[in-house]
Amino acid sequence: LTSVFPYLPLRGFCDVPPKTQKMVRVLNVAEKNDAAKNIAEILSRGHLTRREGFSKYNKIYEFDHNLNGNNVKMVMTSVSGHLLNYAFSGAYKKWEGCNPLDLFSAPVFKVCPEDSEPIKRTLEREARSASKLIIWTDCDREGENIGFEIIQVCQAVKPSLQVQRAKFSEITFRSIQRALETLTRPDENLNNAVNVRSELDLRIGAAFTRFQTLRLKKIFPETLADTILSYGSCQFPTLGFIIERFKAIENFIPEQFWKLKVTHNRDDIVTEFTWQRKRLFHKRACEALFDVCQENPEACITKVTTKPKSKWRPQPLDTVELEKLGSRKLRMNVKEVMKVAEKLYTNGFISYPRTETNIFPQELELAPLVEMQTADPNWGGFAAGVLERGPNPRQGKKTDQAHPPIHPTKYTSSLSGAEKAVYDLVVRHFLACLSDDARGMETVVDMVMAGEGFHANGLVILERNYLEVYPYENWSGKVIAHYEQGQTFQPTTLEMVSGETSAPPYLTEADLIALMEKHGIGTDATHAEHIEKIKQRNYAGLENNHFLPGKIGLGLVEGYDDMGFQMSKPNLRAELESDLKEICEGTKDPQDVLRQQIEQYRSIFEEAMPQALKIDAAMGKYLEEMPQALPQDVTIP
Amino acid sequence: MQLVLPVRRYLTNRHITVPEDWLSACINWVLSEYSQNNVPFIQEQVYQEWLHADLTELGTCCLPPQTQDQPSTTITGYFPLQMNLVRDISEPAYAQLLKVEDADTENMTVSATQNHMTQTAREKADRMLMLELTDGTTVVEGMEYRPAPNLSVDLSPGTKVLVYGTIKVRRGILFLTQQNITVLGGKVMDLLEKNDQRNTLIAALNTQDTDPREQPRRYN
Ligand SMILES: [Mg+2]
Repeated sequence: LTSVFPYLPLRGFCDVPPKTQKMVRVLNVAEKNDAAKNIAEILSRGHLTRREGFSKYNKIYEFDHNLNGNNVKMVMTSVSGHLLNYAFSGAYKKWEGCNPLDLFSAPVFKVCPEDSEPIKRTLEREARSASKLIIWTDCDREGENIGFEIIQVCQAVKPSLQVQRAKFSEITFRSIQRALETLTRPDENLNNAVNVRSELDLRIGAAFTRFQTLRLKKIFPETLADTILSYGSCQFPTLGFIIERFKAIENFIPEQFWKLKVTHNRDDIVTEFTWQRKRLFHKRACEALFDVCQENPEACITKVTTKPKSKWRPQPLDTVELEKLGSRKLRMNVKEVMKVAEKLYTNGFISYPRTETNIFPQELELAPLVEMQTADPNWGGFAAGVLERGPNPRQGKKTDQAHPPIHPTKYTSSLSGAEKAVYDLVVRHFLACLSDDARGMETVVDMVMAGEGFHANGLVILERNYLEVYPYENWSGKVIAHYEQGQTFQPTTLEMVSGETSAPPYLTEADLIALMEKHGIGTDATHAEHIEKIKQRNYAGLENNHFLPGKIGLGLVEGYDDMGFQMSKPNLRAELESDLKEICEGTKDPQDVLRQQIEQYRSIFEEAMPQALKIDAAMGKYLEEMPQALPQDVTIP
Repeated sequence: MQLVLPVRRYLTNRHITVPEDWLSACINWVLSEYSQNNVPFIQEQVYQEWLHADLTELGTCCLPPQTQDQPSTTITGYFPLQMNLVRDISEPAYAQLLKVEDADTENMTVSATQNHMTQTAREKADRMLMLELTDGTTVVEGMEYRPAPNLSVDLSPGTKVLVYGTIKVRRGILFLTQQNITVLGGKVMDLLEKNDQRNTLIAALNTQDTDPREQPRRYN
């Protein structure tokens, strides 16, 4: 109507006053209350009313809006993450109600857990009076799945409800506005992938968890009577990495080595020359070469090379890098980093922090984003510089086709504590990756003494560039004396020094993330959760920021290892993760993947049962407790 | 036996000296084994037997006396020697052992700091092989002083080599280069397993100057 008569006042035809006219109601549902509130504020430009729902954490925001030319009543509310869960029913629900093996085939249902019940009731009530539903959950796999849960609940009470999906990467005016103008359909493939994953997690997790827990509490009644020994197909490989490193350190044999070292003092500068042979693991061999040098210790410079050297600015920030940087540089745990980042996102300060992309998309205008930061007393000047030269992103190679790299979307100076630390990191990283590599001049001086090669390296830093804004990295110059080819001199010192090899370090949280990413365990969205889980279960613990396995963790992993099952190796899970990716892309059938995976784990389970004594033995070793015999009347395998 | 002379000449041309009784026993054995009288054939067969003999059992001797005790000396001539074992001393024996045992060490180099891997790759030094050599009586070591691509850790224990020219010797170690050593071949059955890479590396770890520290168990 409006396109035909664009100037016609909408209410012109009817005599009914606007107040009593019944406007179409559109139900909008976001993933969290904060997101609902901020999206509603943006769309209503602050003119909204708030009322209560059944859940006191999930408010309802209402405002009028012109949607595709129609004035509608927007009703915006939220869930708190997943609304429904897969669960067993009847006897299968009870821990001792069935043989755990049955859990691979027992029927599963999506149910609403008790604490989500009030949210569900709000959705049902609001859906009844709405004619349209717009899903505003996070635009990732889990978010899509949550969206389908919302749709299921709402359409159950109102089958005629029209459903649309809003796609956005940041909660800013432009982005939210555009999302509403370009509503799409929810993505069935993403939803399927999460359903497959959740169903497998439930079946596999429940079967192994019940088996381990019920058996071991009887075998070790003193220590494990009240302990839940959970199993998860991501948890175990994650734990496996920690134990693998732990054992590598335990088995490590340090070795002594020897090397030659030359120094030369000139113009108050001590230049140190490093032996070309680095080090030798044979004392007499090193002594022999030391003798040769000592007999004729004249050093001759054979070559002096000076060439530019750069230190690269960082690539645009993706989730894994944010987690690693947060852990290493801000000394926060990864879960905390992501929690804070999500809060910054829901408040509109940064873009969506779950992304695999480290390439800025063409359509993202970087200059206005840099411009916003020029106001800051600390990095404002730097931002102005970037603006003047034009943003010059160092591009990475990865894109998830869903979200841009993590970047600031709004300037703020009102944050404090962890929020400020993470926001600063995002902003500084953003400005750094848009600026320029640090540049320097490296000098390599090659020297020969009695046939043995040595070299000295000097570095002069010419332009710090990105380092000015990026305190998380440093680059220090190294001064050496000036040398020319053909020059000869007597060294100030000529020494044979020794050292010892050392074991690799225990894993930090950041290293663990790097390993999980390398082997495809979990997704960038779930790394932190899996790590948290194994800490919670005391399978591993942090000591001085490094992971050490716990007794129970060692016992379980070693037990399965002794059976010959690679439960703690990444292969099984990595296979599933790549299958899930294919489901998302629509190239694999979710039912096929589900069937294959269930079969695989069921057969491992079946073969593991008769060998359960091996777990008892491994566990006994670490708990330093004698395994008790299993009582006869117990039906647990 | 008129065969002894041409065979000995054949060996002498290759700078090899063997005990009289070994030579005649060997010729007799070849004769009975192959029932051939062809001199070049027998010469070649005896040479092959020498390549596969254990020089320590032969008790031969060609290195100047006290070669292994001199702090600094040179030796000149042709020295057919037996390589008892070989190991790369530019790398820790433990790391090599893990490789030989096919242990998966890939994850040990993964770290959150991206440049970790490239750094270790760049820092890798040139190989330096250390050979345990014997002339049948004296045991010395030979160090790959300059790259000698004809040598490798895959050479069988007991391989015969010819060291020749004027060779620098320090602290009982011969300074070997591509120009002063040739691999002749052969092996010694008894040394094959005893001195294979795995056992050589284990032995190197066990005879370290430092005791492997007793590490406390660390888990919570
Ligand atoms: Mg989410």
